[in-house]
Amino acid sequence: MAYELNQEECLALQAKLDEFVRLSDSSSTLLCDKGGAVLVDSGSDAENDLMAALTAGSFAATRELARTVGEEDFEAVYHQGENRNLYIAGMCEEVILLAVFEKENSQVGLVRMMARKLRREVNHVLDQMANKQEVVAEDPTVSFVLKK
Amino acid sequence: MAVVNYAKKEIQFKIVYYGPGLCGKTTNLQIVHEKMPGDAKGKMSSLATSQDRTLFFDFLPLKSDAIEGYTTKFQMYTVPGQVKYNSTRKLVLRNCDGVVFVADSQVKKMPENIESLQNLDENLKEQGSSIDEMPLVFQYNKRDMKNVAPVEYMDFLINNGPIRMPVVNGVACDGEGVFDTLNAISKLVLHDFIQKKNQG
Repeated sequence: MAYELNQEECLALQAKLDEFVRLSDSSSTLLCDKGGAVLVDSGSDAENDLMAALTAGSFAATRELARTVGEEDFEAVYHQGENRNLYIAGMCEEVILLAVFEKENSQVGLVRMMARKLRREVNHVLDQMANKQEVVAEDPTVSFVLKK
Repeated sequence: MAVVNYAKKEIQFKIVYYGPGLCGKTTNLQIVHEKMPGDAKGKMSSLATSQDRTLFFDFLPLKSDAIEGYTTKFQMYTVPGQVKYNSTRKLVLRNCDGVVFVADSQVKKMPENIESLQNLDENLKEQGSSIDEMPLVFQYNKRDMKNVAPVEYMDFLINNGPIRMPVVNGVACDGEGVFDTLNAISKLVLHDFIQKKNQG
């Protein structure tokens, strides 16, 4: 019923995303689900909740456009600005990548190539999550208690 | 579908304000954004037409410490109310944890309320959920207008499921009922989450 990331999975995704930022020379990135919730982020942008919501919206709208023109899906969306660019790509059925990169530091070809590498790595981590029998919290004594 | 991040000690919930066009969904979020203290809210964003009608969604992130030891984030969304934007409403409803149905209390708007609620049910069913399973709060808005329908009549028309859902009477543009609605849906969403969690 809930998407649950334990410490280990979170660190694994974080490490992959940090590496993606370094290799693609992006300024900030995040992975979010298709509902617009941030899973992990890396880099400097403070408005990550908003960016994730808009990313999920943009990606969903693009997918509808794809279906309207008879395509199953578009792999990615690229927005070109004067100084900064955005690259949005599906990682799997539920997870989307947003990468923000400066025009002077990186190029869309590099970001696309690294995003494909990241997709394989993210899917590997998510497959391990899916095959897991039970989600174990970081602190097994933690239970969710409503604050009075 | 809540997102729980044990590493960051963070839980995210998605709450969607639903209802017919011009019933006050965006106004609810604007009032929350206006009156909420600075550290508990993020930036509000509206994807609207040049006539200020919602085109895609409004978005407002809120933070609280409702669950002990965890930062609880509520991501608040509205949908466009106009009938023609149904594909957009389906996208916004995706992975949502709770719904506020904002109904327009004017008698002449009752058919639109009913149509919008049926549309919500259809869209939830497409996602494998339903109105009966989803934490849901009704806000009977615009109670200050002339020719408003009695609350009992509105209950009869739209709040007529097996369990009567919480109802808040509101005049959203004056802030009346806005935070009562927010509190009611947050409580329902949190209880639903904890109940499901305990059931495993």
